[in-house]
Amino acid sequence: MLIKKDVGITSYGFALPQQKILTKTIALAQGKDEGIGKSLGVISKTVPSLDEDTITLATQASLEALASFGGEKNDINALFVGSESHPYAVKPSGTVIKSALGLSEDMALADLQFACKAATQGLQIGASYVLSGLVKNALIIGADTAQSSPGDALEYTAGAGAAAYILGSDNLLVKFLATLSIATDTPDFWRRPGESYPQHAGRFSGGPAYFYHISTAAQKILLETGLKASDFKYCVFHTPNGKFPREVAKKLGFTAEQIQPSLLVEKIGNTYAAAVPLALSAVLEQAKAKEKILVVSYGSGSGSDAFVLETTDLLESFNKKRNQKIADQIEKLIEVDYQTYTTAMKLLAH
Amino acid sequence: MKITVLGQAITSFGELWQKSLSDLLVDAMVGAIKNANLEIKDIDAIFVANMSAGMAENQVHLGALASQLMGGNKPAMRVEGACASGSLAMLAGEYSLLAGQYKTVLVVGVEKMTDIDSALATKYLSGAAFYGQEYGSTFPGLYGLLAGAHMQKYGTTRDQLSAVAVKNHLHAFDNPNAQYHKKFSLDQISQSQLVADPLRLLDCSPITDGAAAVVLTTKEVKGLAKINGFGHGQDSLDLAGRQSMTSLEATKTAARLAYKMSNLSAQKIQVAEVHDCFTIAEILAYEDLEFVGAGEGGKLVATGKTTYGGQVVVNPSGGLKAGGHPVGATGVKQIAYLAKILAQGQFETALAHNVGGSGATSVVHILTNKHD
Amino acid sequence: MVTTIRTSSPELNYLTPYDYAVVDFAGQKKEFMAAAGENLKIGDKVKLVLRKKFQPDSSSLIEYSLKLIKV
Repeated sequence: MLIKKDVGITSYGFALPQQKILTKTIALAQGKDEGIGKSLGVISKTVPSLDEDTITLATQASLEALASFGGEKNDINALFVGSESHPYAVKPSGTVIKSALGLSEDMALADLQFACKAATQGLQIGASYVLSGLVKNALIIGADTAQSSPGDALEYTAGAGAAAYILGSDNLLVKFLATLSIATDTPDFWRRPGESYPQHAGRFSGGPAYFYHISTAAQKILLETGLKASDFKYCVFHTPNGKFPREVAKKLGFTAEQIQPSLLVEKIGNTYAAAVPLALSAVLEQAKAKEKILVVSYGSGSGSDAFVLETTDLLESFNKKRNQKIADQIEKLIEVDYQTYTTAMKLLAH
Repeated sequence: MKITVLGQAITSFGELWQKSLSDLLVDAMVGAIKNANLEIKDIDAIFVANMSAGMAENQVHLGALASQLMGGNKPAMRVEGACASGSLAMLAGEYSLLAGQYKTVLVVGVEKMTDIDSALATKYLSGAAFYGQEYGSTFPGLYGLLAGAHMQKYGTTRDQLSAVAVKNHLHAFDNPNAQYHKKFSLDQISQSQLVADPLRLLDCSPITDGAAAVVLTTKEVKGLAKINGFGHGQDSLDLAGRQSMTSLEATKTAARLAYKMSNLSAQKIQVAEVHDCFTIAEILAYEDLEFVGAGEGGKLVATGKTTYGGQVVVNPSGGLKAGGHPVGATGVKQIAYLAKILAQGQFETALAHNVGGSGATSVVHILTNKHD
Repeated sequence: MVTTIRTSSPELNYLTPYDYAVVDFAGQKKEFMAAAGENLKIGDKVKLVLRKKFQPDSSSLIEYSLKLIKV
């Protein structure tokens, strides 16, 4: 769908835990080859503190977005938070977050889940709320403290983090030019209630799942907008590891330079519903005016949300005023050992 | 004002697993009445001090319990002010006598805390702080903050803190009911495990069961200690609300009022039972009670001025540190112990100092045994 | 003022040792726990973050509170 009216991002923020664990450490603890991380394209992943969870990370990211938001807090009347690790099975994370943020009682709110694309779906929903005039501003958050079974392949990549976006129709830093979504029933990754860890379908998560949906959504939106890969300054694809996004970028005709700024996954792991939102933040932090960005997320089960974005003149001055940069936060991550990591993970178990 | 301590009793203080809350109440109350050469019919009312029975045993309404245990359906009430419960119950009894409502009353303080796990005891004790505003704090933590502040401002040293513990443990050998009869060196105190920096395990008073009771009467009796003055000071419940982090204003107020009422000054006090819930608390007490100037408390104890032969004998019973600290009983035990040694003729003027929480409530009593 | 609490109530023992501080907020003093793993010393500039108050059991509501991290 081409978007004819103004809608887009008016502020953004992120939150990462303060700790990380090296994939090398995990491999050694599991008695596996140290080089596993390299083959996945992931050197380290973030580890939450003993008192962090999806809600606290989401709140922190939102606080940052709010701190730089030029509009009225009370005009944020829609909040959607996407995660695979909402602390409650029944009771929204969103209401705790909005209460901590001191937002208005006038609020359209729901928690979303669609694996790693829950928050990007939220971006589309939020944009619709703004476009329809139902709200002036919407707060969309992607946050996760991902769980993985010890010894399983996912242990090397399941990370934690959050990113928040405040959408509106004026003072835009980034405009949404077009967006579309696809969904099919492709069971590559799932978790039944009561189960601590998800199941995943091995190599099936590749071709028919990740690659099919991202490529299909990307190609559809390129066709619709009449754009080609070279029209974009950056591309952002979901990052389950460091290999897949590079591969799909290449297949779609994007260069290493176009995708590199989005590859936080190498240092922070796959932050699930926060992955694309965080990757986009990293790109926005360095983007200049009038640059196009293609964003395509992937959620297991499966589906993809695609966006064609364009930065405005306001982005650079906004970035200058921000307190924290993702790259700096990543530099400051403190390495922990396997014991500390497993203790933290146990506390977040379902 | 003439209020005589006609009788007193203090139970053993320690881990009294064979004694229930009721047992302790009876032991203390019966003991005090007997010591006063009275019978229950001679008592007009009972004031009970306790902090944790509601939490640890689900037993509140302790006035009614004490009254039933004594027989005679004497009017009774429970008074609570955290660790100052004992002295607050004393005040309640004293006010009733001064108002002419009663002539002879029984004040008893009791605490039973060793039947529960120590982490749970820590949690219940933390209810003496401002739970909502000081969540996550523990009592060692709050006094640790005070110790850190005093050390930073006045240079109070690790050894000076330890000197308080060493002294009180030595004194406790004179108190057959003390929880500990154990000598310590300065190093043993200084090297014990950290609990809440900079306070260590041996800076902290223990968790204790025990009870103490006194009989107060408006009749003057020669040879027995009299209560000459008292003062009740109040300050913010939370530490952050205080003006000073290096003194307890509530104690300063309580002391000023007590000195005024009794027409005595700090210099006249020969012996004192002060609230050494932590070693730093005793150092603060020296300064707040005007035994010495601000910041000089550490030196006072380290140079032996607060033991026999010094300026004032502080905590002859071993204090809370070596004597034990059954929270609700402490304030009453202080009066009972001082009344006993005053009646024995060792001293003439004594002071009791009891604090609630991290310094929110403070009560000072002055006792004398002179002919005036 | 900062202390390190090394033993605490049952629900907080899993976080020990944790720091606890009195903070000066432009003249007004308030007390807070430091966030898990955070080491504070006197004079540190701090800010408040939302954290889990303590580890909830599997059925209770999760309580959140403000804790300190270094800026």
